[in-house]
Amino acid sequence: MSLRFDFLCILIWFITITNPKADQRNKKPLHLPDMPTITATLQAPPPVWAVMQRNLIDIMNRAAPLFLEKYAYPGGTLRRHGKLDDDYECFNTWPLFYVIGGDEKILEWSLNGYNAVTRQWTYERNSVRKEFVKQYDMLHLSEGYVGFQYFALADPTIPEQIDRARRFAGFYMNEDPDAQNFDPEHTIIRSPITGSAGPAFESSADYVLIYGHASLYPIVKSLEPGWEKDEKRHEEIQQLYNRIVISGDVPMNLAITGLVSHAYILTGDEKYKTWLLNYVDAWMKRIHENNGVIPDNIGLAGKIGENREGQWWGGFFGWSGRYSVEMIFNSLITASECAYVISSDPNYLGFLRSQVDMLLDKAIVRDGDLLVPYKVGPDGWYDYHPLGPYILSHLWKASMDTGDWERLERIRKGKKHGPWAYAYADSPDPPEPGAEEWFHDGTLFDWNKVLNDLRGNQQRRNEAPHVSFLGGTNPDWPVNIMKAELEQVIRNIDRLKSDTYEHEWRSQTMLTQNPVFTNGLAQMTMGAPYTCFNGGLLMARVRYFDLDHVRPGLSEDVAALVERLESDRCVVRLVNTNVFDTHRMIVQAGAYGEHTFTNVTFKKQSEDSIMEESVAVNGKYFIVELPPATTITLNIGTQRFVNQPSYAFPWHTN
Amino acid sequence: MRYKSAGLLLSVILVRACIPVNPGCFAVEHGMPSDIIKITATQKSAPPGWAIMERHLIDTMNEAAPEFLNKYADRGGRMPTIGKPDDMYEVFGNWPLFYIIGGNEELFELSFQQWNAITRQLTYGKSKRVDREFVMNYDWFHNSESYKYFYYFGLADPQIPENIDRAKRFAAMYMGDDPLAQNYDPEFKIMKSPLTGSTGPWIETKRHAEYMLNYGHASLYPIIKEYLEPGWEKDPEKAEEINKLYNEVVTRGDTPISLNACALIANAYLYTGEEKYKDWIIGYVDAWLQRIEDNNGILPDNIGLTGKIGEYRDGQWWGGHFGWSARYSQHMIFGALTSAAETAYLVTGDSKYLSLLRSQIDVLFDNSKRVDKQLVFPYRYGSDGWYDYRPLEIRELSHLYNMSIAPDDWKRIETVLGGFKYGPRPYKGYNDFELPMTGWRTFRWESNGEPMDFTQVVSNGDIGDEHMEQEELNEAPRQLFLAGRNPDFPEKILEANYREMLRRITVSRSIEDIYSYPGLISEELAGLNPVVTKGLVFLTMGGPQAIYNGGLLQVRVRYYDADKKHPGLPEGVAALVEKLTADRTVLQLVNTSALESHAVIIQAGAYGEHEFTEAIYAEYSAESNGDKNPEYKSLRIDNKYFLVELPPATSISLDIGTRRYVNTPSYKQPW
Repeated sequence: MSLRFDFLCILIWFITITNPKADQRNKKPLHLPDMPTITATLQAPPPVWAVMQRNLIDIMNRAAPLFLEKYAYPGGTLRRHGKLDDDYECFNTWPLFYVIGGDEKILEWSLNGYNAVTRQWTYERNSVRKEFVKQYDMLHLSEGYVGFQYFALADPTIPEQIDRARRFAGFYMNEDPDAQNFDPEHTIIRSPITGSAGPAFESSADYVLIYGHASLYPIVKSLEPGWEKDEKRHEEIQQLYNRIVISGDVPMNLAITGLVSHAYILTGDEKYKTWLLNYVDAWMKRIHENNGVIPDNIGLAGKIGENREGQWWGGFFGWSGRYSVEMIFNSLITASECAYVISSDPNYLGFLRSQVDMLLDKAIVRDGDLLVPYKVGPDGWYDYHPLGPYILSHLWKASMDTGDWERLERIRKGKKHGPWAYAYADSPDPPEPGAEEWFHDGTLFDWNKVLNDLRGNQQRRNEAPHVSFLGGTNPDWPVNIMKAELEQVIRNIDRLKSDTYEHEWRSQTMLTQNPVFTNGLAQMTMGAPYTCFNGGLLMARVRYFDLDHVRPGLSEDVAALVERLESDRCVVRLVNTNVFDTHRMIVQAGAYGEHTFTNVTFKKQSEDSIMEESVAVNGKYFIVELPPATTITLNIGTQRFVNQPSYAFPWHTN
Repeated sequence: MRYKSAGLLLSVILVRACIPVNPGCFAVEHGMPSDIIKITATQKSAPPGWAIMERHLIDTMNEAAPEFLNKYADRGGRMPTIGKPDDMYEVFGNWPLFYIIGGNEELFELSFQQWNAITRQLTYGKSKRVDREFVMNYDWFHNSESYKYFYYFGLADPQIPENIDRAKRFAAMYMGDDPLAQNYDPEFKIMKSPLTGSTGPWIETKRHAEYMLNYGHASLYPIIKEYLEPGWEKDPEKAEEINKLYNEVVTRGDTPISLNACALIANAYLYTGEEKYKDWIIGYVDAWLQRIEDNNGILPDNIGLTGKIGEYRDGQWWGGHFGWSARYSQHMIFGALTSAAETAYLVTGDSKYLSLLRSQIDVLFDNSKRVDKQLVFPYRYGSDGWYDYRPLEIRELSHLYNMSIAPDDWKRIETVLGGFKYGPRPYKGYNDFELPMTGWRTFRWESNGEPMDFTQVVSNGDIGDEHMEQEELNEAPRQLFLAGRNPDFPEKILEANYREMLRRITVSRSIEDIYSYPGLISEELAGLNPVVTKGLVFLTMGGPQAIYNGGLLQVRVRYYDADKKHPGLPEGVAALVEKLTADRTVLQLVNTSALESHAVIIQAGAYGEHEFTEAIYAEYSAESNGDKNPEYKSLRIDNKYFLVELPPATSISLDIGTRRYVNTPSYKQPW
């Protein structure tokens, strides 16, 4: 094609894409609840992080279509597949990017992509029924639907999405006669593998046992390598596996709390809240019954270790599994955060905290590193690794307790050396015995360092530098995180353009080319941790609505930085990088209006003097007006987790 | 803004791709056939009025369409109400056709998104009408309306795997190849019920009889000879008796309406080229031709499960579901015959299949009579024989002639037009809204003394306005134009379409709250769709609209944008097919842009079924432009397509020798 034609295309596209149109569907006059308006008055050149933030948003707007060009047919179906959750994951960040401030087209494309993936897996692969996966382990299932949950933040009025939210949550409340996943009598989900076709009580044992994701102990005390190659032995083990492992509840199933909370926040229907709290309560009770340790296998009659002669460990993705702590704690994070958001009861954070403390109580120090046991075996606790900072980051950001900050400090002091906890376990090959034990690699672990080469769940590794920034010891973080994210975007664009790029985990090849990265932006603009990978909901201190275009997200040209988080206030700096136009935004308390702003204090410039001014809010929203080139630092008094969470936008009455 | 410029620069560096408004369309690298014949237009002149109007109409509809979609579809594509499947698919149905004419690619993507969304809504919504993406328990009259729009996606982009897969899956449901949908019996070559779909034939209906019998869509004659007064359904005993009888007599076995399924099977053939689809069509149409022969030349409208004519009616060949005695008799039957005849001819190249339609037109002719100097034809057959005489619209005859270009078929058209001296039109007042439940039984067409002028065009949309969409009221003026007897047809039809588009836009904009719009059902939404393609199909492609009942588009030419490598006339380019003979195609291309060059690939037939032999055109040199005589060139083409380059403000008239129905038809595009 001619260069002139190229330029014309780009020019036309540039024009269309950099002028995000008003939400075309919202043609009605805007009715807003009463809220104060705060006008910025301090003019100043924008800080570098602000310019970088807008630049990153612009670039990702342009980069997103490259992914579709390479991997999507017209209509959105994909040219290549990973597993079901991998396919969905390609688009997970896109609706969140729109919520932060990305172009509206990106939301449309991701909705299209979500629908197309659902169709492909329904009609080509026969794995999906009523738009929900038929039978899947809860680890992968919950990963797959994180993006689905974000659509409601982007637009909670999409009727189809509301239907789906109810239907999906309903699969775990026995609302579908063909999907009786839950046993209300024993308050258990009846298998680690569930979905729209109900619980599975049979599943191939090979992969799970060979990769060490579950154990048959004490029924089979030692499973010889190569067991799967002998037909008779294979059959024997397979039968045992079905009986022992694929039966009854596991902590991983707590990740379903994401979808059920999602239905509650979307519809306000109490039944979802009731179900969820009941389910979480049941698990908390099991911790009490098991000497403070969450048991990882519950039988069909509700008994701990029912299939294993009472042994509380060994379950599917449980304490003996290859990724024990990661998997168990992701479920705990999701469940604790969700239960807290919908109930406002901080005891639910105790659910997560109890297991953190349980591990810390067993901590040892080796070469200056505080290590906790990651696994349980016949000889008890073993396999010591440093505790991933992200766990305590989630806990502290939700609770704001000084006790939780102290826990963070404890592990900060206790993590002198690298590498990160799972550095030796990140391989597509089965684990060799002892090969994945952690040992320090001689490098000093830098809590301020922002990483730029992460994929999927690894984005959580940037929680450490964010927490350090919030703690005041990492002042360069805003620039560094933007730099790192941009480097990741550029790397992914290169991968998209390459004909030969393949990831060593083949199923992740597509999603490791997704050029839309939201983690850094969510941390910066909303004070949110990296959303828990297994079914988690966004846990944001603030979110924004563009009043110029009447849509979610930062207004055009506006950058935001959450500088400080405290239990009763947060400090947010807003910058209008545009020297010509005024922009107006609503600031909302919490992703779901779960908080209430008490008042806002800020500096006001008039003539020669700068005075501090305070405005009472006593509500979920206030408007910020940013004339050209202005900046404002808002010290926002906040009562946290005091309101029923809802996805409704400020202009959605009732 | 300094950083905005940086952004632009960055975007230039980072993005070397086509307009990603609709990303995903260009990811497959296209190669132009290297041996394509090129002709360059050289006549420079101001473009004629019709060309400007044509482009203006296309450009306006490009703008109006997204506004319409955003108003009535929710994000993700859900429609405000669930109606009948055919009504829902119709709302955006003609957008992919508009795309292949020359509309924006965005409209193809949007309409595909809507097709998917409507399919989901019908699958997961409150009343489930669709399973495995295909409608359940529906007759082929309505199914053909729905799936006509699905076929257009093949013309728009035949490489989407999901649609190829769907085409094959749907066809399998009607070939006996799908264990969950055993609609077809290959032994007797019948559909097992008039009501079929993705869950198989629906014989044991529950209360279907009530609507169908009361509205006259089927008869129980001669098993029940008396007229069943509406209200019988209130007596539980009677209702049970009638429902049982209905399931025995009406919903068991085949009817000619199922001939509409041929296009569905052909659709799979056009995607894949697999012979089994062609073989099925031949088998099924041959079976119906045999039935006509077995019934003394008259198409029987009910066949039993063992293949016998009138098997459940003591051998009576009429009375079936949507058959000769039914409310829309001739209209429904002949729609199916047209669709099947066209389809069978297209896939085989054997003109004998046109006799499926022609023979039944001749049955009407044989039973026609003159009343007050008008030639009238029977529309229905009942216990007293042929009745309900009205003039004939030339819809089917025009479709027939479009394929055959046989002098005898033209004579039939002339005879019918000549005998239709005074109005009103045969279906005036005969539509669902105006005709009460039983009024159709006593309907009598009577002349109103107003002379018919078949050079006049009717302003209507593709569907969904006060006229019955199926009437194709513009076929007469179109054929007269092609015969050289209606020279201002292009301007008239464009103006009429423009007026209709404007009417729809105005009505739609006047609706403040769509949910409080009285009677907002999906039927009415299709009537607000601002995209009207019929005039553009007539003028640019030289063919009628696809027959309403699921026919495939049967046109002489289609175009591709050679620069962008996708279907449709390039921006600024207008086309007019002026004359069609059995072996020649005369058309004009005009580049209305005074600044931009464009390149068009012309393809012979919507499916490359024809072949161009040579093209005669005028070559103007710089000196001879304007008044002087150009040099006439003749260039061998011997291919199904060739390329025309149109420098700014040029036009060209092409007289192209055409061998028709000589290639295997396919959706394949030139690259």
